[in-house]
Amino acid sequence: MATPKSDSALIAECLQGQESAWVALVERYRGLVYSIPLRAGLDADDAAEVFQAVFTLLLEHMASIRAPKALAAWLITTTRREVWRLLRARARERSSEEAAAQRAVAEQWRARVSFEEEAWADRALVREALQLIGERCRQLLTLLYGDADALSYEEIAARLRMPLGSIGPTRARCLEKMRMTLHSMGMGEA
Amino acid sequence: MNDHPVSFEALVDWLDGRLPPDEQDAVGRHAADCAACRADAAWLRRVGTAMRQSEIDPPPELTAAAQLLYRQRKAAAGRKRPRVIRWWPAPVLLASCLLFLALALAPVWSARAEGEVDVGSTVMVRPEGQATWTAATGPLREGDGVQCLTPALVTLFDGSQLRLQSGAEVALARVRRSLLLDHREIVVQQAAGRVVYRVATRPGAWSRFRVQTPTALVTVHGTRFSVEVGQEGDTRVQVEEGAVEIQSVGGAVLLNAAEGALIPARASRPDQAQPCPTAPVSPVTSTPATIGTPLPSAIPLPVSATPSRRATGAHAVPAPAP
Repeated sequence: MATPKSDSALIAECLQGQESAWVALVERYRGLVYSIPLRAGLDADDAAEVFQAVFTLLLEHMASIRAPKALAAWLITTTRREVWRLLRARARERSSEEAAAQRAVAEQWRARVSFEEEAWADRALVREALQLIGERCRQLLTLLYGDADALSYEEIAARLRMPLGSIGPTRARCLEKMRMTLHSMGMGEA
Repeated sequence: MNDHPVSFEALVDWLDGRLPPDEQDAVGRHAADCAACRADAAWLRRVGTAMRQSEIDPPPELTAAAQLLYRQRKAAAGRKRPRVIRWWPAPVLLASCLLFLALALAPVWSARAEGEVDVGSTVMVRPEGQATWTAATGPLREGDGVQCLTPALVTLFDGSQLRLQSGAEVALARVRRSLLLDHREIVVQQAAGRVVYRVATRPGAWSRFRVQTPTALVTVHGTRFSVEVGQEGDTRVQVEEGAVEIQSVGGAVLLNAAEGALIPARASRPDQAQPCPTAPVSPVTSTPATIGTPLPSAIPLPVSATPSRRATGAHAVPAPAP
């Protein structure tokens, strides 16, 4: 299992000139940064523009980010700011009806944002951790928790072709692995 | 968690609601009083919530483009020379500028310059700080006095010439030049007799050439003029070329070429200056006089220009036509 690194460590390596650290950071937060504009009602092109802008800003301001541990929060804030900037620009370009509709979506999204922010930030780390804990654990935990409609143990055992009785212990072992991985990635335990 | 009555596995099952009802209640009761269990439960909920978040992956090319940003920026930074700001040269530069200005402009700090006198038995020199007059033997220095029984020529370091007529007495009160630039400050104290001054062109705005008499201070704006201090201490100034400014107690007058002024011994105000009658002035040639050769005798100056009266209250008089 590759040793995952915390955001702080990756930022420090970036600042020392290690490109691999930057690649890892983009890989970690690409879903987070790309999803926010889409949730706010922007189309794929605008989301791509926000995505590029946010990572450009991150590269420029990396040295001045005061709390590298809170990188996810910085990214969310920056992405939201870029989304609003783009929404304002689009509102000037579009008809009043279109602009009003988009504003409504954005307002709805804005109300949800602060509530979901922590989960979005965690999601980026959890997704990466899932890639690091082994294929079997990733499949099992995804089937157990990845969907709002939880599958029964029987269905999971059938899909993964594993004895029903081993699901419980395997899940506990996988969650421990997950906890260790997330810990080394800097995700504070609740 | 080995010694813990509720295993991690049971806690996960409890959170998922997968335990039989009686066990579900029992774990719930235990967790209510168990801080470690509550912390585990909170963490599991947090991870569960995060896992249920939907996330939309960007197209691979978008991710690749963002990952390339780093290399592009690094390449751009490599092309651009890092701007290193060094602060230490600022005070050094400032100090250098001030030092340069001080050395260049302030004659106070400047080197003492020398003058030469055409040595002859008729020229007496009183070195600075001494009371007795001796025959001139070497170069003149600041502070030296010069007295001549026959006409003599004093040449200063900058080429300015003082043609002393018989009986004239001057002291080189200040003969200085700046160390860096070609600025000079020359003050001649003329005690007696007549002296024709031929002042080298002023090299700099701060250069000064002045003649002090018992009654007047003559500041040179031009090149050729004569000053005569009479027996009574009265001062006659006659300008041949350029202009001089004469200051005495209470006022000043500017004399241009072909103008003259008389400042009587007891009249200390320029407005009391009397018209200068025939003011015989020694002719001044552009070629330096030969050392040791007496100057020709005095000849009236052939000038007939109209005087200007730039300074009111002063009597500037034209030199008479021959």
